[in-house]
Amino acid sequence: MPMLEVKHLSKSFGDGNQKLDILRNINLCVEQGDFVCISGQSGSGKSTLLHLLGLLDSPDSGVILINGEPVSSGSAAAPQLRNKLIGFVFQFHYLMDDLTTLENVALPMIVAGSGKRESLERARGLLKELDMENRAGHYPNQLSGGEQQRAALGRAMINQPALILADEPTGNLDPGHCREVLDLFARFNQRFGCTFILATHDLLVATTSKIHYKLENGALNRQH
Amino acid sequence: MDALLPFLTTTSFRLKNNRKLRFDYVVMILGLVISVTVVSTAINLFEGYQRSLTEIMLDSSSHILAFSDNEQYLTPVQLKPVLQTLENRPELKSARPVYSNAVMIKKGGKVRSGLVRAYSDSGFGTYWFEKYLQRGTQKLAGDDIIIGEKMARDMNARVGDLLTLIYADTKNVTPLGMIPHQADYRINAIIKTGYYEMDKSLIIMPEATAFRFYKTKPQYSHLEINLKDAASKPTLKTTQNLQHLLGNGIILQNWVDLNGNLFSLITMEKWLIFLVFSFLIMIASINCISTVSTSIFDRKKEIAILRTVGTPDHQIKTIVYLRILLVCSASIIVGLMAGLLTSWLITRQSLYQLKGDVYFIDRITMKISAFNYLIVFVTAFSAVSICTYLPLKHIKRLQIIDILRGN
Repeated sequence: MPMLEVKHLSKSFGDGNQKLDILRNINLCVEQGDFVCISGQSGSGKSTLLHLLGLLDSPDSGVILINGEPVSSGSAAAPQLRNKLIGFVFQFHYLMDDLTTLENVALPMIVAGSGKRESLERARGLLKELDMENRAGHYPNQLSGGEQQRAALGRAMINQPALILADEPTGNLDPGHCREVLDLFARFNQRFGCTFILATHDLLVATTSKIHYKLENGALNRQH
Repeated sequence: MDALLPFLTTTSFRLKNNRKLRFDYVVMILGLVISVTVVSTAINLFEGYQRSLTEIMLDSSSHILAFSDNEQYLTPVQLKPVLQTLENRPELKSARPVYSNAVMIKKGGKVRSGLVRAYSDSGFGTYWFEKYLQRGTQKLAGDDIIIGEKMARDMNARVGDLLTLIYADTKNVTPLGMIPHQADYRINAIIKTGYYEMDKSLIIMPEATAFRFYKTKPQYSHLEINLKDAASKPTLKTTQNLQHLLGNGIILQNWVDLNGNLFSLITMEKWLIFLVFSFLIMIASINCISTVSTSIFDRKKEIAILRTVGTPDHQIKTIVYLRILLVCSASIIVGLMAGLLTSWLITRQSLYQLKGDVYFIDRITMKISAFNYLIVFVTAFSAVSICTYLPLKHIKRLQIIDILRGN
């Protein structure tokens, strides 16, 4: 059974003459542990697709199945799925300004109901993995772009989710930091076996993955 | 949620160098602090006024007055069995026959009206004015008198000075008209009760001196009875019991009947003032609506992050709600403390004091009542709770996607 399956997914914005079909009849099948890249130009619908997969938005039609179970953003179970099964990494790190790096990483675990001490302990371990142990007490505005993105990955990983959705995670980084973050993704993919779906407009980034889809005119086509 | 709420609450109040308090937050906090200060000050002062007036009135006036049923003076013969009956009653503190009459007082060029009260030795218990003695001694003999502090000030009289008392003797009418009777008396002591009317007009003299001055046989205007517990319920009960014991020849009137309306009016006025000033709290609370709305707008990124990591909307609402309520509760408590300080400062100042002829007492006092403080806190907290809750619906309407794309 595929870990993630998307059937006939469509999404449009606006109405009447202004209606814009962003995604048309998308079908996708992702196995546990896959590292999938979705490339496409800006505005092609990559982020929209990731938002739908991450249950942050609802499609006009089609279904999303996780481990064979249909899921939707409006369901009562959606928050719990977003917390335990899915991890997000965005182009703009979206770390909470009032929390330290350590606390930001621990946040989803605390949301899940774990104790503060236990959550911070695991977050410390993750920061060690991310080579950011010495930045645990710093606030997001005291971190570099690469560090912020690494902290965001740590936050996404804390609950050991089955699926990581990364929306242009390297879009804001210089080539050095870009390589660093991608290496980290690959390492986490191999080490923890979690599935990665990464959206990027950068073809160079996309071609490094084993599975590459291209999103063009609302349709998703496998490249390799 | 168990750990999330304290976690986010403590982190949100953490002091950071770059953190600045937003202007609308400052306005909300100041509004609450000031309005609660005003309300609690008003309540403290009104409570002080009410308690002081009650205390002074009950201390310096009798709790129950006994009159003859035929509107005549009470005679010693009539009073003897009454006093014997009363002496055995454990709920009574004192009972004393009093002769009371109007008088004019003269000293130098100044003339004032006054009221003579002569207490009989035949009663029992202590004299009420002992505790209010300001200067001199209470022991009266011969032509000694005790006067009120306000009268002493008005007449520029001191202990040892002579006052001329003048009485219009209606029995001594001559072809030339009524001849006033006058005599000089030495001030033996000055008392200050704080009850304006009493301090302004009271003259206490020995009964024998009074009877001689007014040229009357021993007789008494009324009997003053004081109770150990002068609260309204025991007073009413004791009056009923005593009336039953003393029979129909004596008519009893208690302070509840005589001044009950005044105390009810003061209580009503206190709560009316509280109600009117509570509108200030309402207005301050309305600030919370705009502050919470702005706060939700400003913190939409955080809300989006919390939703993205799986926090349900109701938990986000609770977090925002409790954060604001915590700030508001602290503001209310600060307001209550500031009210305490303001009331204390008002009682200490000398720029403005009450007019005794209007308010019965001429000094401003305060009284802290836990019940009043609880009422102010509950009112402010309820108003703030409602006004904070109303804008929380905006959280549900926030679209995560719009926020995430907004960057």
